[in-house]
Amino acid sequence: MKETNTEYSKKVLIVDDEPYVLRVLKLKLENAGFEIITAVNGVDGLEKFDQERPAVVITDIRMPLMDGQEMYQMIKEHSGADPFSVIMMTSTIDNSLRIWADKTGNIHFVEKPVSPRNVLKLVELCYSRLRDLNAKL
Amino acid sequence: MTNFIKSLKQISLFPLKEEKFIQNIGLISIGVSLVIIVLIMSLFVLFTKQNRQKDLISDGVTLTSMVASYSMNELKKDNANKLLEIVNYTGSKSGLVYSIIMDTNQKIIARTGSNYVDNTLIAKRAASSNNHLKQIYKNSLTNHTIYEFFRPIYKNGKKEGTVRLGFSPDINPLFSDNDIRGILVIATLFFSLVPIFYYLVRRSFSSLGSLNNELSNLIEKNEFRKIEVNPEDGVGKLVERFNLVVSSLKDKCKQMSLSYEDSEVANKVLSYEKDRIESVIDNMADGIMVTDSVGSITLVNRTMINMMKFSKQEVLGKTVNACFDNKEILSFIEKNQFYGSVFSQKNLEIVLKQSGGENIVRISYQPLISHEESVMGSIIVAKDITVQKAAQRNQSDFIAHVSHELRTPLNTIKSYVEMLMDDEVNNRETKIDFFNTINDEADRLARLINNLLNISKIEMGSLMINKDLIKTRDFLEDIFKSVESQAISKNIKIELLLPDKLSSLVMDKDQIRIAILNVLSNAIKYTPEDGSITFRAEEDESFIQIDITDTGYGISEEEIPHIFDKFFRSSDEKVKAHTGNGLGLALCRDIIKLHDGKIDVMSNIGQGTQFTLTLPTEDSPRIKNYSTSYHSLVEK
Repeated sequence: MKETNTEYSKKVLIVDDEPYVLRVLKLKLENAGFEIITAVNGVDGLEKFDQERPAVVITDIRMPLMDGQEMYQMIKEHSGADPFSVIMMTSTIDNSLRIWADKTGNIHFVEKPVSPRNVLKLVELCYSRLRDLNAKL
Repeated sequence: MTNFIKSLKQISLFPLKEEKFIQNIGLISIGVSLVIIVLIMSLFVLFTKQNRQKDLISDGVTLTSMVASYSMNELKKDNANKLLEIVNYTGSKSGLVYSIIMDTNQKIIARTGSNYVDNTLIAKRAASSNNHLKQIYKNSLTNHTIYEFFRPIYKNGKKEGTVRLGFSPDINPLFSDNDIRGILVIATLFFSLVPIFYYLVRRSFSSLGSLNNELSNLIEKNEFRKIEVNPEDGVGKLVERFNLVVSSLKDKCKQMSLSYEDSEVANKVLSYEKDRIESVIDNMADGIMVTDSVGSITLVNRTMINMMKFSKQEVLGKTVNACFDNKEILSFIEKNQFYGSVFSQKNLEIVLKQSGGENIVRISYQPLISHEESVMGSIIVAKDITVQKAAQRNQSDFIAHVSHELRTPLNTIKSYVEMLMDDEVNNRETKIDFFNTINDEADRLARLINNLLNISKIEMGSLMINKDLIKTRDFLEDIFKSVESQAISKNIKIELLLPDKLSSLVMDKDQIRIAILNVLSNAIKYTPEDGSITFRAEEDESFIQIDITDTGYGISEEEIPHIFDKFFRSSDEKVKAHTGNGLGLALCRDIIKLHDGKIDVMSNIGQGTQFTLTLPTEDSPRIKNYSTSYHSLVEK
């Protein structure tokens, strides 16, 4: 882990059932120097997370098979101690979602329609925080 | 009224007969007059007898004195006889039956009426009754009562002889001719009075007779007319009063029977109303329970009973605690009963487990307030809101679906445009692809909005269909081309099978296109990769039949009846993995129905599905009835 202190993993997992979203976000983030992994639903995302251990997860909430919240819960329970950030894309941030997020912690929201610029900014913010956190450790 | 008459009938054990009554009056008056006549006659007889006795005594005394005033010398044989004849003549009226003049030796000087006298007896009596002026004895011969007068004949203070005169009151007839005539006159008079009396009595009692008649009528026929009263009638006032009494009784009876009938009617109306209200309450879809001021249940309807585990009889009179075993309901009701209006929660939504599964029930509590503003009890209403809740959920699900479906292409458009604006896309081909995607997504958005608009228009019955003559073959080929690329991109083998000639269709091209496209895009969506889809059309008499057959996931038997329902989405995980709003097939069915067609579906889970759309051709007889069937469909 010590080598990764300075060169923290720039892997980002994007989970969405809409291929266009995957495509555009992938392009935007790759252009900014991130390594992108994509998944089309929660189950797929869970699998990819286990394989790749990304530092940031961008996920849609409404998805077939397994939604974003469920997937996040599963990742937290099974992924071990490695810290990671989550960015959730949603059309509306209602109260129950906010309560859930406060309880769970370390969750950012992006409102739909998604602006790739904003997503990139948020990913960069998460990444720098994680790097700071890792440096402290 | 009838009861009153019945009691009258029971009382009148004696049947009054007017004729008999009047007849009796006649007989009585005859009898009375007879008695009066007999009385008068007896009085007359008594009077006559007394008079006769008086006459007899005075004649006896006078005649004996007259004879005794003669001396025996003067009474020589002839003289004595002549004298006695005179005496006899005079005394015969008073009943003189014999006369005797005797000397002192009891030797009869002269005599008359020897038939009546036993000489020896006379002699004997003369000896024993010297000093008596009169004696009465019974003549043994004739059995007559004899009054005998005697007197001594003196000459110079010396008794020379005796005169004896015997009277019998019975000898003369009691009545003289005059007497009889008088009696007859009196009797005739009396008898002639009888009919007058009878008439008077009859007239006096004529009111009684009609009274009797009317009473009979009243008893037997329940009729009573006012009795005509003769002002001279003796019983007139009585009958008049009777009239008054009966008419007032009649009025009272009438009032009573009227009010009785009224109350009967009112009772019937009341009980009918009660039954009606009870059945209304019983048949209400909401459960209703009413308690009194101490919390005992006074009314409960069938719906409420069905929600509880007890029968109506077990529940009435008990408190609410005995009826529900759900703690939430009990505490809700208790709080309301205890705190009243201070407790602000008036509704409780709760899931009740019942025989038919789980139901969502809304329980509301309302205190019963009297006119005096005091609490008389409470009304507890339980409303089954399962269906409403499901509809609400459907509605919000639908809105969520729609907004998601609307947002998805919008999302893509926005992000792609932003990427192009930020000059993030350097590759020319990718750039073109981005522009194409934006274009496609805009189309997708427009299609979705159209679908939504169409379905709401059809639902509200305001969809205008513009019918045109369509070349069927070209039309179907166009549709096929528009979906072919979609299928190929999913590696699905798609086939179009059309006969060389197809009749034209008269229909709204855009609508039918939407209907067929919805089925076709479903087939592509729910057919896994490497599957196949067949798009086939056939003509059969006056119909064109379009079959869309896929090798997709298939629809389960339970779900087939619901696939055309609005908002319905299969619970199959494979189907759920794809986005959809549950509107496509609903819209398709509505459009096909509007064109007098029909849509059928056959499916086997795991093997595939075949939809068959049947549409009438241009010359189909059904086309001619287009307008009517259009309306009937809209009404449906």
